[in-house]
Amino acid sequence: MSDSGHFGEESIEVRPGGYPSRSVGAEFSQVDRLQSPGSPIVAQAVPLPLAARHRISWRIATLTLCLLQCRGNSATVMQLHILTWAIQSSANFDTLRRHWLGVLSGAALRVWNSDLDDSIRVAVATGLVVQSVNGRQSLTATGLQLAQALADPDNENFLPEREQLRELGRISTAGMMRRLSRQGEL
Amino acid sequence: MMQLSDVRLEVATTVDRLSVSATFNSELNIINAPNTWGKSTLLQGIVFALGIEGMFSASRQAPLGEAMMRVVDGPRGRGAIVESSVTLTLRNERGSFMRCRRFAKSLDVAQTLVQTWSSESLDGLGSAEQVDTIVRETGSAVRKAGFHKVLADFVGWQLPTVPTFAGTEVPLYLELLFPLFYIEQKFGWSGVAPRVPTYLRIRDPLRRSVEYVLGLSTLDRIKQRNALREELQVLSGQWAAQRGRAREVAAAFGWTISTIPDSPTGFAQRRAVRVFVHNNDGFSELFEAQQQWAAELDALPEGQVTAAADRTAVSRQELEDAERELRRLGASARAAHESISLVQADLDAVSSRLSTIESDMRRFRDIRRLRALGSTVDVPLLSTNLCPTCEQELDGRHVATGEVLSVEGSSALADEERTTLLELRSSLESRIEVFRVNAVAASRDLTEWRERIRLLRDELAGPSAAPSYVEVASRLALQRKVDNAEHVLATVETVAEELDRIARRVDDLRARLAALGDEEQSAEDRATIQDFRDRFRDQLLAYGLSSLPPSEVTIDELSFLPANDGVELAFDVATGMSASDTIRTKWAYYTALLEASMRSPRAHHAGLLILDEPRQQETARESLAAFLHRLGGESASVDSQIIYATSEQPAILAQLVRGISHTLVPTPGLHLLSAMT
Repeated sequence: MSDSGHFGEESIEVRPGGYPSRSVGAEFSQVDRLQSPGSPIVAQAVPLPLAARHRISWRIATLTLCLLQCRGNSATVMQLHILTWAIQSSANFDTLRRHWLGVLSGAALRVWNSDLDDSIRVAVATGLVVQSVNGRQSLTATGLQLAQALADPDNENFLPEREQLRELGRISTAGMMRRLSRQGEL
Repeated sequence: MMQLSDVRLEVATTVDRLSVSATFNSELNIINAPNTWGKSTLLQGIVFALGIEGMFSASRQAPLGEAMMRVVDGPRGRGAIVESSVTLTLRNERGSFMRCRRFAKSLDVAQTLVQTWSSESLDGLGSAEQVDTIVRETGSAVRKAGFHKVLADFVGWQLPTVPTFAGTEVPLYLELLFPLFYIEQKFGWSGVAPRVPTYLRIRDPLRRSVEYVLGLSTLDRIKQRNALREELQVLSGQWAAQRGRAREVAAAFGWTISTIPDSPTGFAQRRAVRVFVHNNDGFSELFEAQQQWAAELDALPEGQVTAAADRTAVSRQELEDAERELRRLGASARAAHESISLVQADLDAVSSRLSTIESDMRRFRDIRRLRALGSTVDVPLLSTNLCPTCEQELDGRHVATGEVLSVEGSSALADEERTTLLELRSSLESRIEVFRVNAVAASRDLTEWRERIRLLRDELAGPSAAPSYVEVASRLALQRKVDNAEHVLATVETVAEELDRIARRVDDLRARLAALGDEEQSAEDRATIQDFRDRFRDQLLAYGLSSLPPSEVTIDELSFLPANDGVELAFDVATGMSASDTIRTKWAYYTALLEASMRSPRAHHAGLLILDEPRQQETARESLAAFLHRLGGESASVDSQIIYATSEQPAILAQLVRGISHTLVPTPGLHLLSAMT
């Protein structure tokens, strides 16, 4: 799996999983280049941190929680964009709350969660979510089991997210449209 | 310790008045009867009389069958039940007796009432005074008239309080303890772990129950540690209050105090509290300034005030100086306010980032929990992060190197960042505090200088013969400063004494925390747990456990669940244990707990084990024989009472219990109630 190459008289070795053309995350070996000018440069790809909200397991879990809160455990993609975006941060949820309560009446809430399409694709492939012919996303039996296990009052998983979703009550597509859109557009 | 002397079921129907009794001895009692005889009704009667049916579920329905609740066939034919009750007689370790009667159905007596009689002898119960108590109602575990309080006192238990999910503390209810003493027929034998109720919202209910029954000091140690930490918290609050008091009293006069740490320090780290005064050269110590002001005051001529005309030239020069000083102070105040705005902006940014980091750390904890859930609900993706289609790592797509840092690594990194941000915030708060003090001091100085300029102008424009306003005002201002300094220095001295007291107490608490150690269990606890474990393993070997090597099965010291290679055997399907091995594990668990507890002087086992139809058909005959020998031998030898209900063929049972000391509880007739007279 390892690869190596030469730049002039110097060689570069790339460890498994490495990307030699990228400088981000590359770690160079501690060789004194002045003492040994001909020694190879060893670059090794190092793991980089990724925020929890971008991790697939967190995204899938919150997606099922959002669907569990929706009537019939089913929602449109646009609804899911708003809900999954809202629970990403308390600031996002505050914005949604203000629209939901009509504090910002007249202004439609339009948001886009760039991770959602990927989350839905993986959730469908995992058998947690199914897409109906009209494009709505619904929880499968396994998805429902997961969501209910997550929402079990005896555990403390995803407490803030669950509380935020609970604050919205049971969510219907029509009700959400009424609250968040200016002229019934959602 | 609690042993059952007898139980009596009474039923009044529309045609008959019926009753049946069973008497129990110490050691092994066997109730042998066919499946339909009513063994479970008899045993459930015991549960009902003790008011512990909440160990099965939150339901308020009596756990008794039709024969006690609706209709029964008596000698005079079938009759609807008008009244039914269960009376149970108990004996404790001191040899005292308590009788309790609870009505399952009655027109006059509520199910929540338990009538009790207590006496030092069995015969004395007949003439004992009836005391009514409540059960299955709020307060029945703690109130004087609560049956479970009375029962716990009778047994000699002081039930500890345990934490709930709501963050409160409640008593360790008897409903949590009795699942360790009673295994009911329908659901009690499923799974390898005892079924303790979760609806009571108590954290780690099984763990807390087993700890109490084994007499472990874990809970005590946790509580002691929490009490010490709580006191440290209180001291922290007192420290902050004293710190605030010193700062406020100094700030009231535009002065500032030396840095007092945010949280309490030990006595060795205590530093003197100093008060500083803002002046042209920066800051000087208040006590020095006080001496200087006092000297200036002394230098003023006693009793005489100069006439305004006599100091005109001086006043003009002073006015010029004062106006220059006013401009300098104005610039200084503006600079301080600008610095406050800048630092406040940094502080807001740091606080916002901290909030995000803390939220991310919580989410990483959620992700770690998700891994365990992934195997429970059979969604491997949650545990592995691998794409179900292409088996590629999914999170790696979102980072530049294609290789994502593990959840633990990311969480640790976030924790490091949090630590840095907390320090940065603390530093910014200190800086902003300094700027605020500067701003306040400059503002106060501005007021004083404005007042001085006004006086100088008035004096220069006023009558020549009038006494100098400036001289009078200076004298008064100096006197006021000297007095204020005295007040502040006295207050700060009191604060310093109080901080010293807190620091000494902090040293003491920290020493006690260190002596307590980080481990949750004491050496005695570990010995008791090891005894429990050894007895459990011995029995697995004796009963012929075959799904796993008995030597590799143990009791987890945190969850108190049977475990193999670090995995709790909570789910027989997940661990691949056969049904017969699940039963063997269960037998071994309950008897090992009984034996280990009864041998520990600090334990709180009831000394009672009730086994309702322990699935003998699902195990090999040799295993059952070994189990019965254990019950009649080692288990019964520790002053315990075992009630074993079985539908085994009498002839086979006779072979199995040959040579085992036991009492066969009579079970005449086709049904329990057919024997009623």
